[in-house]
Amino acid sequence: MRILLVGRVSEVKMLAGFISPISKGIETIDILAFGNVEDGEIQGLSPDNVYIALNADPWHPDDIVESIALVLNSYRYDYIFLPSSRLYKEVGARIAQKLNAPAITEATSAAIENGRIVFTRSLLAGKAISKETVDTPAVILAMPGRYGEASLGRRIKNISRISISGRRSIEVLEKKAKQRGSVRLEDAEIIVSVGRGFKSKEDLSLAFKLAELIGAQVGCSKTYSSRS
Amino acid sequence: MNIAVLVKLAIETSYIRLDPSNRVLFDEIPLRVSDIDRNAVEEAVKMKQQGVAQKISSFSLLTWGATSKRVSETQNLLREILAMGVDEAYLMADPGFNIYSQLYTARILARMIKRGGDYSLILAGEASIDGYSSQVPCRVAEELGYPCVSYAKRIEVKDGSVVVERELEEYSEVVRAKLPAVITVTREINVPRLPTLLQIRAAMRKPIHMMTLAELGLGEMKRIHERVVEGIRTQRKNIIVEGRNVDEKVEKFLEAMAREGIFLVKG
Repeated sequence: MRILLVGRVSEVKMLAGFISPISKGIETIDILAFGNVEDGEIQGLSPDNVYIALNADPWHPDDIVESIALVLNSYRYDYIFLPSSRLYKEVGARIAQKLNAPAITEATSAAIENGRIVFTRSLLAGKAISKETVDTPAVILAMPGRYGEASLGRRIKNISRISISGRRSIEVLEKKAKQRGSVRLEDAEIIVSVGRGFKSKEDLSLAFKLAELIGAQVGCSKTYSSRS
Repeated sequence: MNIAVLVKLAIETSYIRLDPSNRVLFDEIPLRVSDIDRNAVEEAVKMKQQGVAQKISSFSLLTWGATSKRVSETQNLLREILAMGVDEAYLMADPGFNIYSQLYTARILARMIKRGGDYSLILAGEASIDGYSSQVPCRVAEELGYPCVSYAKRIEVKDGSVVVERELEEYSEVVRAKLPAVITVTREINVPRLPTLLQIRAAMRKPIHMMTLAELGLGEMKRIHERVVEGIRTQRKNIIVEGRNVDEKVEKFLEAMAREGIFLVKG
């Protein structure tokens, strides 16, 4: 079995953590990395083969899709692992359809059961758990921030630098980075969670006051975060 | 310009039913128009009212079993979006399509859109309320060879292009794509309208075109994705915190939480 982990180095490290329960039986684990890639980081990850997309914008879906397609032209991968972010959900859908392949998004775990890889995800607005298996090739999008970073523990055979054409169907006119807080909800002991019922800033301050009192962090629903 | 809107008839997640072994009884759960697809419909209707679009067609696929009960339920749900301002609905309901597959769902929808007419803009919600996988619209774009822009919170059509303000986790951006294109919208793009009684009555006269796999030139589809779904049972404690004023309510709330072992009050 051959698998490909795709993303920026920090994301690939997370994906390495995600696949660690199943990585023993996998013959080849390659990575395709975007952005500023330092040799030391790649050595630390220790995959079998490394592809570095030199001229690809790590935030542009067209560039990411073209880079993945370029790597897939050379090898058939059974599973292509991506982070389950908004950007990569778009990328994953396009790659999966090109490959006539199934995809599992927001996967929270991977395990081997009866010789098959079984992925788990939440379904029906968190009211059910779905255990899913897919024919290969398949695209798997793993939920970020849930796993520790892991080394793949292999010896690097080859590092290839790939170059894409840069043809784009979407032109970026303006881009604004969001302010990021220093809070890691994964590390919080208690989370005060808010949703759409919190209409005003005053409502939200109540949640922060409560969180301060009980030593919690404030989190919010997907809907609330996309609104603010 | 004509607009196609992808509308999913999703499982109503507020009415999940389980058997004693926690298996989800999908056949017994009602469907509803997926919330964010209503935002897509609203955006299309606004464009029509502004004179940007001439015709709006919706495209749906019955993915939860094409029994006569489900078909009738689905037709009633489609009347809701016809009442919002959609001109016609296309529905593929075929007992032959009984597998879970984003791949085939997208392929069928793409064929339906081609069969439906000439559409410059295809709108959809960013995700459905039941699966939340966000896969189908961009897969449809890939099938049609169109660009896909996801997570739009503002859309402007001008000079054969679409300019979209969109929101990703780490940044927001404004992008431009040539039409035809597929755009997915977020909830924040608008507030879907509630149709008036007259609009609801008028919707009864609007057409719902039924389609089958054979009509779309599609045959048997291989099962490539299996899933076993288990419901999560939750039981509410039904604790009501009462007090004469906010301070007393907060104090009692914290005491109740501490009693439940959820946390201990600092200090």
